Amino acid sequence: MHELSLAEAVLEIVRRHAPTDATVRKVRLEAGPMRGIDRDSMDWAWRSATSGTRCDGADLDLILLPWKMHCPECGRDWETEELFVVCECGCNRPHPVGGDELRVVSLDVDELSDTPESPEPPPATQRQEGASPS
Amino acid sequence: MKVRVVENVLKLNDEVASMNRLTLRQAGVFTLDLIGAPGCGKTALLERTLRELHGKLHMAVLVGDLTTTRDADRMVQWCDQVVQINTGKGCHLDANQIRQAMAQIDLAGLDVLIIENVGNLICPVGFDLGQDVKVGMFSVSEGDDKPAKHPYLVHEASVLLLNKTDLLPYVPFNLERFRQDIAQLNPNVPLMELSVVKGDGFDAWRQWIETKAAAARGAAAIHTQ
Repeated sequence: MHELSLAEAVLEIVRRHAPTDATVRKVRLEAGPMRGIDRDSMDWAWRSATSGTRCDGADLDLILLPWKMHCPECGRDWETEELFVVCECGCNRPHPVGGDELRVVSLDVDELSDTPESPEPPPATQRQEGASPS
Repeated sequence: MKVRVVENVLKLNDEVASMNRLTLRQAGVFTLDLIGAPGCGKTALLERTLRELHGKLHMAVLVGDLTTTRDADRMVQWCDQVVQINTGKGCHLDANQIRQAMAQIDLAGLDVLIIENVGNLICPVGFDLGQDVKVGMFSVSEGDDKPAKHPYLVHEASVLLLNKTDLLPYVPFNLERFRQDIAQLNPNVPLMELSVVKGDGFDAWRQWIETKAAAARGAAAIHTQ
């Protein structure tokens, strides 16, 4: 159940990067296939880790990356869902390169209010997203 | 509003692991993280290793288990520096647990630190502890498909062990397939086939540790000159 440790580590990253008064809507996480992350377990772990925190209710957008393979015969690099594959050149010994990615890439947050230090008046056009100032 | 982050999830763990690695390397200690499934023979391997190298190398063991001190109790007769780390519900060791356990051992004069991870082929692999090498351990009774099913361990390991080779005549196990899967996942990783109980193949393992320990001691000596 390494998903729970990972969910707690993701939460810590969100704490450090999200503006303190913002509501976190979505956290995008990329994971390589080496990490062996199960989507359902990760969803459960995320809900469990975030319960009662400012990320309670935030979506975890988990992107499971494909294998990146390299062929030692022809030098070809490609991405695939299957690990044990034969290369187009016929070589049956292509091996994975990388695949251990595990990173938070972005957060979607709603800011509670306009930042007070902003010197400019609110723009005339409506903001694309964000909560009302009240 | 979208906030761009791009941060490794285990960055904090990795930073503590780097501190551990620096401390251990400066002390000239060779450190290995032993990862394998429950019952593959990790503790038996360490018992025999400690026994055979008793009086030759100063060794310490940090052993992770969910509960009990049984593993530490088994090893303590051959080694006076065994620290049991009970992880509770945790399925792996992390760098901070190692940092705390390291404070309980005397690094001065130590040659080898072995970390026996929690019995698990998946979770421990992703957590850097500050080790020099990860050693992945399989056994014949687990079946020949375990490397293919656990590619991360095979890929990350610097050495792989296949234990219980004395059971090969009695257990369906395709050794060629086992070797081929490993060669595809990690073409250059050395595979040591051994029987901890019978002693077959154990010399290669013991000599590998002795060589690595000497190299770590030498590297630290150069560093401090």
